Amino acid sequence: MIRFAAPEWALLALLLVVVAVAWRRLQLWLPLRATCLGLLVLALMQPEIRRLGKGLDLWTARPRRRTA
Amino acid sequence: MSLSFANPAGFWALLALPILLGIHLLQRQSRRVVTSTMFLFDTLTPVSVEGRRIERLRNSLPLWLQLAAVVLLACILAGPRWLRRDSSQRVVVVLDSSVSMGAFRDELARALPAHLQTLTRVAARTEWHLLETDPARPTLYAGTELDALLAAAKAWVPHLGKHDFAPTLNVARGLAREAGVTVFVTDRRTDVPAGVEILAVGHPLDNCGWVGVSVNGDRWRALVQNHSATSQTRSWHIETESGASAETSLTLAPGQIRTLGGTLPAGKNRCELVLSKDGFALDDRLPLVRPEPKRVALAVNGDKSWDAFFNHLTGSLPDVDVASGTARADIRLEARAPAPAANPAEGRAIIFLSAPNSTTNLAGEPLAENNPLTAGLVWNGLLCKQTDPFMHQDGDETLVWQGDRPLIFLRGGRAERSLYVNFDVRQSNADRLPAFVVLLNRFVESIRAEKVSFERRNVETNQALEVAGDQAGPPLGMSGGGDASRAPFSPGFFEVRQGDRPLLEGAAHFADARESDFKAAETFDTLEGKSSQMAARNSRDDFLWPVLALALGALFLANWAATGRGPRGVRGGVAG
Repeated sequence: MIRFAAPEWALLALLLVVVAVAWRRLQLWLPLRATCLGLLVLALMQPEIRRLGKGLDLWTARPRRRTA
Repeated sequence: MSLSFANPAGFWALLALPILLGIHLLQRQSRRVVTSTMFLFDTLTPVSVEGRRIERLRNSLPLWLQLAAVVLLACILAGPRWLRRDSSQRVVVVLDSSVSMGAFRDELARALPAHLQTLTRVAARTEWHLLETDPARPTLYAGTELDALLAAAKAWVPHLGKHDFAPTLNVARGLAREAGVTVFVTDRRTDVPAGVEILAVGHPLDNCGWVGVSVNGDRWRALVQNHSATSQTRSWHIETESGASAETSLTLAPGQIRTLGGTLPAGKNRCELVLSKDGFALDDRLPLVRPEPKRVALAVNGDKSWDAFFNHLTGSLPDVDVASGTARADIRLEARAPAPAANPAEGRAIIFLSAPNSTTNLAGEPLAENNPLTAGLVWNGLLCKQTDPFMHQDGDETLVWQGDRPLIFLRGGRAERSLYVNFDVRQSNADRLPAFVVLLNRFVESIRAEKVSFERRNVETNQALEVAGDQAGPPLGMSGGGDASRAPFSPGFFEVRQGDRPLLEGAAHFADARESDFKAAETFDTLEGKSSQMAARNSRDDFLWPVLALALGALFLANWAATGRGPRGVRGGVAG
């Protein structure tokens, strides 16, 4: 399951859209450029995959005192 | 705080630098542009006139921006982390005490420092523990010096056969706790409890070796097995103090067991069967001694009606002598009437009930008590006659009941313990019942084991030894200074003495075929992920990494701005 440790960096994508519109000569809509910037934003958001381990041993100890 | 990298492989991205320079060395392909006039073209120096060919590297802003971007990207991919100064970890290394590990001592000496030094780098302070899976052995090392741990591991000698690792691994996990690492060093893939990492240092060996021997008089028979997956050829010979026999070649198919036999060298009590050497040395030599068991002296005391039974019994007992008098006897065979002779016997004895003939069968099914003498014996089918019994006394230890009658019982203290057969054997089918015959043999063997006398026998390595000594004498001692309660760990000859008196001369041979089989041995480890996990636990991310990422994005934008200016295709460079 994927989750993001710093999702606030998604706002950077909006800023990049503004930059692309304001400075058209940067041609940020070109596929390679858009992919590079998209991956950069994704890295800043720190995606994490939670994997289940092989398992764990569960030990249950019961006190033998009568009061327990 | 010291800088470390969670993913040093990220620096492979620096290989993009020469690729980038190579691309910049190429001339850019000229493009045809249709124009209405040529008057402005005199002032423009052509950037590229020859197409895609190598030319001199030109200094340009896009080149430097792209080089800087590659370096920045490599730094980000390497994952810089700052190790916390207060970080500490406990690493518990558990060595597999199986003797098969002895074949990989060199591999262990190479692998252990390399992997443990990796763990050293993931915490500011590391506490080391070195254990082995033999729970009877003490901790090999505990402290903060890795070099001392490695020295202890180098001096360690595995000595056990197949055994259970779980108790020691559970102890190790308790020592390591959640913030530590438990590393199990073995030579093959095995199931371990959760949280235990494996460092396996083995590899398949083409091993052939001796797996067992029996000696009967002068004749010996030994088993040799090919444990490998391919056909193997070896040679073998017999060695004595005075020399060696000629080599005999031997070819074994995969997994084949062959029986070899021969006669012990005349006049020699010791010899060794020697197989040509391979990667596992323990089963290449098989020491032998000419067996000389302790003999038990029997005295027989009964009327003529018992002669046939006693002759039959003494003939079935191995290594016994029938003594003429009772004074020198280790055990007496005696037939007694039920009353009044119910007193304890003097010395060890087997007392048989001698009663008048009866026609009534004893009622009920025989039932055995839980005792080493009766373990595993089946008494169903025993038929006895109803006769007057021996009178029960306090302290009697009943072995077999029939109804409420103690059918067979022990009487007397340790020095005078006697076996009472409380039914008339002559009027029963007991002498044809295996359980009865085995019980009598076990009782005689227990007396033989307690007899203080010299014996010579062949045993397996690390086998428990029961050597009877004089209670009032000095403690038993093993030749070479080892523990007299167990045979040596390595194959060889040994002697157990009490003072100057030799009690046991033995030959210990290795016969654990499971440890000789190296087909499943392999090299692997599960530590790589663990060291990254420990590094993450004991360090924190470089707080500047978002700044580095943003700088990388800025370099991208600057590069695209630089390459996108002016007429398309004229400014050259790699635009991306």
